[in-house]
Amino acid sequence: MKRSIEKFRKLSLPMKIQFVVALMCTLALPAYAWFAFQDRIEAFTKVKEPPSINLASGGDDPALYITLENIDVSVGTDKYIVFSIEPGKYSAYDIQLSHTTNIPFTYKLYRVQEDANGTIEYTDHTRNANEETELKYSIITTAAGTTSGEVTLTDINPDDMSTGRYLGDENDLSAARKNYVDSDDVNMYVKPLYSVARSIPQLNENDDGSADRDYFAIRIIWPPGTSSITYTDADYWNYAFNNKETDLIYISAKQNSVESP
Amino acid sequence: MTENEYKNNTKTTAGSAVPNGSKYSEHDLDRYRRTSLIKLFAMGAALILLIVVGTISWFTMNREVENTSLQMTAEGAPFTIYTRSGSGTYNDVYESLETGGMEWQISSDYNFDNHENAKKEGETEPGIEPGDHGILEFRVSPNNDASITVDCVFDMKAYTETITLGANNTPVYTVTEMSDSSLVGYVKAHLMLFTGVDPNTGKYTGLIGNDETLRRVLEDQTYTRNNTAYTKIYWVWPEHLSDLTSNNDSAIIYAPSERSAVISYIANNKDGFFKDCNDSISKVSTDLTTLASSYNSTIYNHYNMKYDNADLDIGNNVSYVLLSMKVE
Repeated sequence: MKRSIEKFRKLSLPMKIQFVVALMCTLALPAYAWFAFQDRIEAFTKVKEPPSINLASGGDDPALYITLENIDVSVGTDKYIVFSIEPGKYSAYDIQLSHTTNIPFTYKLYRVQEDANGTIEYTDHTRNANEETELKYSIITTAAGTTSGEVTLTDINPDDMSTGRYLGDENDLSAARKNYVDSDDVNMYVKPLYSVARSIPQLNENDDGSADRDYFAIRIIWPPGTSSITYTDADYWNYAFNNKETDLIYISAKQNSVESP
Repeated sequence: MTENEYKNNTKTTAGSAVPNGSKYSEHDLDRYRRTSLIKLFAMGAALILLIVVGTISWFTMNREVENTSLQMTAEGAPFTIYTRSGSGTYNDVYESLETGGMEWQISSDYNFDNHENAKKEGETEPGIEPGDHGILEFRVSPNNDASITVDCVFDMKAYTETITLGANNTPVYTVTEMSDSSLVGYVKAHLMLFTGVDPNTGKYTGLIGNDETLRRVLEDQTYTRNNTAYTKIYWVWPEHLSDLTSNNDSAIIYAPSERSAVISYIANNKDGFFKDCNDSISKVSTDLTTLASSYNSTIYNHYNMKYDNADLDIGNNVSYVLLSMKVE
């Protein structure tokens, strides 16, 4: 011990400092090991966003491009509006249409697919950058759950003859409530019609369970006599006095996968 | 001046401690000795203080300190936890949280859906969602004894990620722990833990339930020093309530023998399993028991909606989850 102390005293100052530092490190390491002693382990991961179901327009367009513009009742008797559902991982879904009944159109829903020989036209804005692409669609007449491609819409609040309720029928209303009969007054008591098609199976299922788009077309029909509201006046659609020009259609989609309880 | 110097300077005459003509008196010598003694005591005190400070960490960390006669022995860190050797995909985020825990390391087969291999087709990054399941592994090795018996306590935390604009309009991601007790409750309940799988049926066995203090505990696990076998923890996020409540044994994800344990676990954690569940624990328990014997659409739909809503809340609000296991 004495010799060790003598040796230490003979060391130069820098060496003494080195020795003390080395000694401190030796003591500190076991102490650090204690503080670093772990009794808890933790696994950390990301939560994925919930699967969603999206509405989109035709082609590759987003829902922004769904439009009911340019319906000219003097040309033809119907018009198709193409839209699509992105069902994500859901194997089936409901589509609900609700529409105001200002104009007595009839609405039908069809499953459609892109088909160069089709007759339903859609102008795509997304597929080719900065360029419009004319696409054609045809009805999938063999689609499961359809009648020759038509998806059956069930009215949730149908016209009901037994109660004398004819939604959208102006004849059922007093003159003061008729649309535009008196200047620009509209029938404020007309209720929207709700129709729903349930558990529509997704087509085009991908390997991972997600699907690309399922395309649909809403067929808006206006020939007199075949509309849901029967008009005897064949000129009804063509005359300028029919200045009712605004209706709204709401399309909504909801997951409805068949789940075995 | 040392004592020797002093003596050399004081060649004394016989019988007298104080030399004639010496510059030091006996009084000086006493004073010198006293001073030396004080110095010695001071050094001793400083040394004791140093030793106490140096060993304080030992005493704070030790749970067992033995005192045998006059010898004091302190045991070392009682165990070491071993996990696999790979870091998770989101380890950078985890490290930035500085939770004080140790990363539960993973492999391609054993992970928390935080490994590249856990990505499903078409996914750009791994992660968990309803319907996912997997296995995590760990083992505990005693350091001092041949074997050790411990409790493994599981807990979960939820984190949300917010994006703000930083310098040069670059996005800055901030991950913070969520304090919303409802959401954290959903996460804790919907991620269920089991200890095994029936090799014949592939159904989960050994639900890790709550103890009396509502902690999820795997109690009294014994590990021996040389055993390198890992303990498997099976985690699962049931996709549908029917995975837990169906009366059809083949439709549930756990072994039928676990049924009563699972029903009681769900009922006791009803606020975690179901969003806005105002039914009493006993009502939930009765209803789920009814479902287990025969399907009833009214009862099922009542709870299924609340179960799915809780899932939706997790998905819409929680960005990351952390599963921790504390060995004690």
